[in-house]
Amino acid sequence: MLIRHDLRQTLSSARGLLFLVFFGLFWAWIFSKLAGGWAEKLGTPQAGFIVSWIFDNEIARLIKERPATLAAYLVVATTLTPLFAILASCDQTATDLGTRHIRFLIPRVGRAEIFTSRLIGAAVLIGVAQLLAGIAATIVALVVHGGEGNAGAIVTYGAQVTGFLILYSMPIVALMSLVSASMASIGLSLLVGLGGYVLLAATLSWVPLEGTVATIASFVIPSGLKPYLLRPELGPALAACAGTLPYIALYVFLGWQVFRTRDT
Amino acid sequence: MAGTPIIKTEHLGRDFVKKRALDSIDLVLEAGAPIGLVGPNGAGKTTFFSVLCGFLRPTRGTVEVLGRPPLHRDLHGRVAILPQDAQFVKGVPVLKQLAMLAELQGFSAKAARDEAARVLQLVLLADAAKKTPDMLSHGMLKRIAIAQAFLGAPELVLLDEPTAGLDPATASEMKNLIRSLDKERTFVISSHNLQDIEELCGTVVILDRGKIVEHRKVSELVGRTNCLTFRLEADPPESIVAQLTAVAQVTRVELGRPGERRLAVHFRDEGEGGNKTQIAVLQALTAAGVAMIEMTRGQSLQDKVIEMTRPGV
Repeated sequence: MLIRHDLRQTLSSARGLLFLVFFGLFWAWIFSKLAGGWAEKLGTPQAGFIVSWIFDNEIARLIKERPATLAAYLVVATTLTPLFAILASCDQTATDLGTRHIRFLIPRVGRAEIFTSRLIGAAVLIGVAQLLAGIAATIVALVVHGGEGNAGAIVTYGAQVTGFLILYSMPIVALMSLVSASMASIGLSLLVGLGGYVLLAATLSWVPLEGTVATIASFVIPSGLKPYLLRPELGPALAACAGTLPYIALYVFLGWQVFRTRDT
Repeated sequence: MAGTPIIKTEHLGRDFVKKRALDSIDLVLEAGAPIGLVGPNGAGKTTFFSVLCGFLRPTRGTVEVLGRPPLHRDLHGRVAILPQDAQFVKGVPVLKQLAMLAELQGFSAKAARDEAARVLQLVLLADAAKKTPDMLSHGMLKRIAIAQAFLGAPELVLLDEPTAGLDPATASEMKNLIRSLDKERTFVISSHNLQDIEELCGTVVILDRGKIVEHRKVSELVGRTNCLTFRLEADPPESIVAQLTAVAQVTRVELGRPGERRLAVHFRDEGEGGNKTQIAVLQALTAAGVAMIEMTRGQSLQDKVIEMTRPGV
């Protein structure tokens, strides 16, 4: 009941609509560029050289070995998924706590139901948005590369990419359950979520760490999984998907502890 | 659950960073006539009410509501709360919001809509059903908040400042509503408006500086059968104390502070029918040339609370 209400409210609220419009417009623009020739150009050896120079060989290999449209979509999406997921899930319990609307709810349902429904509501919102973007990316890939007689492979990889991105969004949704319960304000939640993530990601990429420390540090936030999602082989990508689960479990646990024990 | 206190606290305490807001409160409240919770600013009234509602956790001691910790699953739908400062969701019509709350209490979707319409009718806001909170005044939102506390059939209703922000006519309607429903459930009403508490409640709990200073029946506290309070045209002379104390059965005479133009005369309880002492007191006042504007049996609860919570008492 609360999830249904939460989703309906999100989809009709300025914040929810803003997220959907921003998300939809961004991907519409990217897909129009990919369909307009970028994807074909990315598949050429010259582009592969530039990509491997700018990024790394694995990404160049991904674009070469997989349908270029979907590969490019995956590269852009994994970079921007934290941003979109933070935007979509920054509210959760923040508005309930900030406006004290929760005081109307807790005489009727437990805190666990409220926390879970807000978490699931946010997860469904970003999940559905990712699903629609994945379907659109697959359709664009079919239009661009479908004539090459590999429609089945494109659809299969499109489904994989969509699944990867949905799973990759979930640790961020879980992280925002912790941030929103701690901040009790949607604005602060967004600021701390975005600011904290960018700051941590930037720090981890700039601080010169080596060896085991570097490996451990790269997994402090879920972006440490990103290189594995961008490998052309299925195995590392699946391992990265499985790797999201500990993040989800940890962040949800911490978020629940904050929400469970805080005054309302 | 017969015989179980509606509220029971033992050694209840709550600290904030630099302040002890509640200090070892032991209290047992029984079901029945509405119970008022009063006290001056900073007395701990809001903190105590919030702990009873489960909004704040106690630092020490225990609190039970209908035999369970506040907000226990067994209490869902049995205890209703009017929070003072909670907001409704912006942009969603109030009928839908009330129906959603009713659904959370276990009503089916159709029954929830009917129940929401019923409680809107109770607070005389049936016309506002399709309006969103931003289209309603503060007073109307207060009435919607009161309406949500009457969804279903709660056994205990905790109301925080139910008439604050309401115009006198609407406040009167809300008090009538509470009176009309107080036979079916127990109300605990926290308020600064002591006249409302005196009108509505059978028992009052007075808090001051984090402690309970009184828990008694309102009628006993204001002394309707053993005290007369006078509002005078001018501050009375000091000599009036001796003159009134000389009247048989008079036990104590209280003068208001300078400028209050008030006088309270306490005497041995004459019961509801007795009035000999009261007549003698009136005669003594007339003989002393003290002009009065108004006479009330007993003291007002407001005067009593001010007296009991005055610094240094």
